[in-house]
Amino acid sequence: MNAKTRLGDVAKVIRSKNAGPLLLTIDVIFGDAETYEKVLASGVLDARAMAKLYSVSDNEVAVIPYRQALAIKVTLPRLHRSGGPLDSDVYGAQQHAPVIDLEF
Amino acid sequence: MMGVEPLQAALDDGAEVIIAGRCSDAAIYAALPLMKGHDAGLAWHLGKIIECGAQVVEPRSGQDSIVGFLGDGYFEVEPGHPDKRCTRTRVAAHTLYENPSPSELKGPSGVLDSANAEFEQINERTVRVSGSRFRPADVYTVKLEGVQRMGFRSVFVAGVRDPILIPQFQEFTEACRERATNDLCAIGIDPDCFTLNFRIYGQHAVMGSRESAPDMAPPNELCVVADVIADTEENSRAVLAKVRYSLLHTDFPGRLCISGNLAFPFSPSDVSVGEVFDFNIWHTVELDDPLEPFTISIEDVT
Repeated sequence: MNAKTRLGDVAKVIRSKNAGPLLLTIDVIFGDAETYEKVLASGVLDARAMAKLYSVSDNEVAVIPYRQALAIKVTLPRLHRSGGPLDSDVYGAQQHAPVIDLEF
Repeated sequence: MMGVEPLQAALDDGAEVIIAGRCSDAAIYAALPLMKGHDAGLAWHLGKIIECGAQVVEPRSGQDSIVGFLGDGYFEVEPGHPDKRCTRTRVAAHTLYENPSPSELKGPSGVLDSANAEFEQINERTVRVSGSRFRPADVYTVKLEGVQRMGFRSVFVAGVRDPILIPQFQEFTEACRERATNDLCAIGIDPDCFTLNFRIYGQHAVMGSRESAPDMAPPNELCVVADVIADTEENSRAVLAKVRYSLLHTDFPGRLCISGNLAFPFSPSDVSVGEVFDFNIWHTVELDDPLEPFTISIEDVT
């Protein structure tokens, strides 16, 4: 049995940012095709898992692999509109953290 | 948010420098090559890659420049700085940047489709990209963004170090909210005219209800930002003053620190940070003419 691997230990990029004022987009990018394929196949970043991690419903999450960049993009609604009265992260740049600790 | 057409119209009119309003980032760089007849997929994709300058350059430090070359069937990007490099990962990653989709970038005149783009490291500092396509839109649209004013904000920042207060700080702030609200009613400031938000750094301030990390032992210090938004600047300052007093001097169970509950790093502690806005328009508008909403004027500067 293989031990579990932490996403933050194998990805080259794990970042989040606004995609407009209403959406948050998280990019996980790998340095080699083998790791990319492994993570993709594991389902650790599938819509259901990400919906649970970010407390949104499954149908609000889009998970889109982009092989050319060895990247998996996850796009979901922001908790609050960017810059609105209750927003805590105007650029959405620090919402990626839970993804670093995911294991597969 | 304008596309390339108003920029091209200004260039056609002889402009040498363009000071544009809200504009698609990639359009700034795609405007000229499109005028010169370059492939639209490559011109838009190059524009996207260099939209943030040296963000695709390694190692990343300070300010830097980026150089893009458009060739026949490809484009290349490399740093202006001779000791730095563009990497395949950084360039490919920028295709995804700040965009809900990794391979479709919507613009006013169509969609940049990079689903079949190829990224190639041709030497240690240059990346070549090919295979990007541009799909013209049937209808020309521009993005329309608008906000509504929500009021005036005043804030203070304070530290908490008391080990008796820290584990109960959340409940404590709620008690203080109630006390401050009552005090404000007594001086004629209605609770409906303001909102009060305690941002408690060290306790889920960044991710709020989305925080999934397990609860850990209380930290030995917290940072609280008291955030008041009120109908006028005067009211926001008055509310914040009452909130500050309340947080500083309200008892809590087990309290020993009866001379004050907060460590203020600044004096004065309260800062008015201006008006607060909230997005309320995020739409696309169909245009018959891409220049229609954009006024262009040419100035001679000597």
